[in-house]
Amino acid sequence: MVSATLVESLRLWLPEVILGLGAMGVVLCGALTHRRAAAAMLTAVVLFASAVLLVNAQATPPAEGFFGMIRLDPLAHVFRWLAWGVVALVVLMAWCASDVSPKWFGEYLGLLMVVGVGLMLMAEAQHLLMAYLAIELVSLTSYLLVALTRDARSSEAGLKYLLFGALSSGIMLFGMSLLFGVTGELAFPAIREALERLPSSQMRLCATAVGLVSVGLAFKISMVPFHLWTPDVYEGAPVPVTAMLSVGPKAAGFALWIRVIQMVEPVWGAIAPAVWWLTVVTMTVGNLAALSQTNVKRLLAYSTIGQVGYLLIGLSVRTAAGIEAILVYLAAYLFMNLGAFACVVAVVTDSGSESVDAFRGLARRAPVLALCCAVFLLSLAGLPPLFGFIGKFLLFGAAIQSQAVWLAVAGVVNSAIALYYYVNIIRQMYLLSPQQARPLRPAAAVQVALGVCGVATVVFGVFPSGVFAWIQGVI
Amino acid sequence: MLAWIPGLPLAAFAVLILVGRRLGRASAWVSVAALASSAFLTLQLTPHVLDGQRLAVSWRWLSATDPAWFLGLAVDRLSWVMLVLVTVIGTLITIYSIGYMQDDARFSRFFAYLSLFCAAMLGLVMANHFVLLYACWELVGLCSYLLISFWFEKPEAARAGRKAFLTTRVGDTGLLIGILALWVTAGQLHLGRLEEIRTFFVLRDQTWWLTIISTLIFLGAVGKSAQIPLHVWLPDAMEGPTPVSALIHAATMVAAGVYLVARTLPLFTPESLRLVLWIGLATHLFAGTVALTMTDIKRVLAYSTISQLGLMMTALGLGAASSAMFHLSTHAFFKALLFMAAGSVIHATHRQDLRELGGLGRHLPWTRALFLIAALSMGGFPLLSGFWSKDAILLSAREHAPWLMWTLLGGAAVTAGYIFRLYLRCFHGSPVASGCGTPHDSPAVMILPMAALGLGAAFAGFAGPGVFHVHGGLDVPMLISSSVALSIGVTLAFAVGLKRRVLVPAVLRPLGTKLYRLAANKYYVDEAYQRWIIGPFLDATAWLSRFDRRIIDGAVDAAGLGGWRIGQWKERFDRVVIDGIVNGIALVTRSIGHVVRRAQTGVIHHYLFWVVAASVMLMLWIRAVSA
Repeated sequence: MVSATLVESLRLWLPEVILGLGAMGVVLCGALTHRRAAAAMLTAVVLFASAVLLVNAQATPPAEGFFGMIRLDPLAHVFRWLAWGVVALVVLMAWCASDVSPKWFGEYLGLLMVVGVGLMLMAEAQHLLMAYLAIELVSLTSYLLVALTRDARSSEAGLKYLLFGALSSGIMLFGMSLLFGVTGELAFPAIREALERLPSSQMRLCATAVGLVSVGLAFKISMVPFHLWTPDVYEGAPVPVTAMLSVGPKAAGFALWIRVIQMVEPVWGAIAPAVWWLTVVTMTVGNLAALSQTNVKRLLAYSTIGQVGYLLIGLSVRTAAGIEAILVYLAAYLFMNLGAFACVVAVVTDSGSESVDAFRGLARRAPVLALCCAVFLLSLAGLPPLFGFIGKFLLFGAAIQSQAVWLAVAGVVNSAIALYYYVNIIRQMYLLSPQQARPLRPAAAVQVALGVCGVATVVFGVFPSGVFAWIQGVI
Repeated sequence: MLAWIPGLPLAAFAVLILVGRRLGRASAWVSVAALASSAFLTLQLTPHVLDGQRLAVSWRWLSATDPAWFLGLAVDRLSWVMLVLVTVIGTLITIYSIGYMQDDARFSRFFAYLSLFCAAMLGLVMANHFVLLYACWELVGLCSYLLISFWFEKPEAARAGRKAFLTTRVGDTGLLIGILALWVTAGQLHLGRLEEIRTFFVLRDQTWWLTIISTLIFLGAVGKSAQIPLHVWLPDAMEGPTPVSALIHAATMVAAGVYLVARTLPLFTPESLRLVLWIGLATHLFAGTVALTMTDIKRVLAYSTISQLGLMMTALGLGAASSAMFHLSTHAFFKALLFMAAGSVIHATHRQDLRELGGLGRHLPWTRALFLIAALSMGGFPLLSGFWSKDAILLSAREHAPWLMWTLLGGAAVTAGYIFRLYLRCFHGSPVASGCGTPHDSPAVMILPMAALGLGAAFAGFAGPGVFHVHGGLDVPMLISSSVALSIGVTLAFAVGLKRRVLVPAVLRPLGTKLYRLAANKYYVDEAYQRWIIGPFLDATAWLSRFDRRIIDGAVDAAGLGGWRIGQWKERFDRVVIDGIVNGIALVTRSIGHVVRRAQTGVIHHYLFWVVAASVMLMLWIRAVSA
């Protein structure tokens, strides 16, 4: 009986299994051969295999696995694809990045894939222990990845991330233990039932517990005031890792939070006002702080905080339209933000400088790269007809639909502020003369990443109906 | 399959414009192959069309309108005739151009334009919708412009291209307004539904709308077919390469106006048809007399073309569309041939002024023979193609009014006169010394297409009854009278044009001289335009510019001064109030940024303190809310 359940669960969970085993294989391969190409090729094969399995998994009906630990439903499926996309695009960027020593290349790619498994687990978790385990899997591997460059800055970033993360997960674990203490359950559906039967005298305790759990999630998605680690860590980490951190844990964090909110529906009313306010604070702080940044990774770190603020609108309104908007915006964000980071990879690899000045005159040195970069930035700013506009439109639309007009207003005002620093980079690229005249040619793998992101950003912006159809099937 | 007919030349254009330079000499054959295939496809349609079928394809284009617009292509008997002319004559002229353009630096570009023209012309002819027709109509105009000023290094060529474009635009604007009026009133622009449109207006007793619309459409035709008063561009258009003159300005594009009127004949009311008749007749006579006096070979032919187009319009004015189309077809053959023969003369001697030419018959036997066939055909020599088509028009005129027939016979005499004057002065008489050695006939690549056209010019008339349903068989009185007109014309051309006899009695000589000068100066139309339209227009602009400088600028200056005063005051207001607000906002923003930055110390225990403090505060808040 037990073994039958395990076999059945493993069959459903095959993409993650392959990714996890592949990760170990890649680490071993890197350690044994010390050859970048071998590790990279193996990674490509593993990623391809898990993509094929993901396509196959699409057809299976919603199911629980591993004794109710995880739930594989359409919502989880969307996030599995997002996680897969993050890993694949970041691997492409890491393929020829020079900031990690070839000695560690196998571990680099392997750890990225482990993060992928963790991200998928976060979206699938249906049990407090599994949720905690998934978050820790993502966090621990992320600490390693951040410190992988092994220079002072990178190590400092890794350590800061570790300490900050440890505190946050401690707080979250405390919240979980309180929740368990009150309800006596660990599985989400059971907790939900228990909460509905809870006497009102325990509501306050329960709300506090949920608030403490939310702190851990807020840390993962860089929500203000738990965002402080973000700029320092982003600045210190290798650029592809920064790119991964800016999309992967954010998407998975939203997935888990959506599930947690569904679980704690009866007491969420107490926490909602705080989230509403912090939504506005998050986007405002992110965008205002981004205005004065000169390091492009720090700038994108604050930009990420701003974007998280927009995404939180969908969470605040808690309607089907809001969740749909989050999914669409996360898909858009995957392409446009990773595309922007791919541009940063190209520029940083070429010039060695992470300053915004390194983008000067890029239009003359690499016209296609500059054009792509402009598309990603404009999409991040939310200008039509790009994918980012569609997502923002849905988010603000969802806010207006559920009578939260002022959330939409805050979003629009923030978009206007954000336009300044996004367009500033475009100005640097197109209007100023370059520091060096020599043309810049990104590596082939980065070109592929740029191409994929660019085409997706434009095509889904112009023809969004395909994405809508896919996402609407989920909800 | 219909779409292939204009599609192939269009594809040829795309290929040539993109990789033409690399193809070099081969580019001409791309063009020829595309057109020849179109010709082949057109000829395949013959049995269906002669059965009276209407072949059509269409695509939904605009569904927001009511009714939805289905743009498409259609072929019936009328457009089939045009298709045959454009593809067959187009193919022959393209082959001829290979020889004529041989040494040109922009060889492939020429064939690209030529292919584009053919594609647009075929599209125009096959269009089943006014909008598509208008698009192609403008496109052929553009090609005409590009090809007239093909040698744009010559200022005359550049000027002529511009003149052609601007003059025809006057007509095109009329056509566009007509189309818009049709859409607004009848709401129907499908060319296959003209009868419905007519009944629509007749039922509502609004035939005056039809008169207005058809007059506007006719205005487009007047521009394209170089009718009075918009004929001035065609003689100047002769600056273009001769194959262009043959194809565009003789055989096809200028005939588009006639085609348009024939196609939209159901929209014409008796009133507008009378206008067509008078304009056509006036053009026929006017241009014929001018052609008698011109000394440039191509200009003679240009005025001849205008005159013949006038004859076709006259026929349309009589309602005899089939006669007009019949004459259009035969004219396409013999006039294209005349142009090509003239081109052959120019190619051989590098001269095109009659005063410097003569006695070429010995050196250019082929050219001469073919020219003679075309001239006889145009003059109406019995059994040649021009004879049949002209007689068809004369017969329609006789049914309408005898005086019209006599006038047209007079026109026929004039036609014979100028064309034989041209022929005799070129190929007979004393050779005028020319500095470039003995001229010799053109290469086979030019002569062969001309010979093929010669066959058409001679025998195309026999297709009359079969294709055009015009009156078959010989009408003896008409045969005699038109032959007499031809003989008079030829005799006068021989006596006056070649032998320089003065036949006018001494009394009338001053009047004769005056009339001659009038015709030789093209009735001063260009000068009149310069004086009464362009001149006053320029004067008006000069006056307006003065007005601008004095009055408007003065007012603007005064307003500026006032504005400056207000500005000064406003500046003070701005500095104190508005800047204060803006700077205040910036200050607030910046200080928030500073606070945020201050928080971002980079010191980890500060961060951890923040996390704990924030968590505690949040929990307190949550407790407060849930209470």
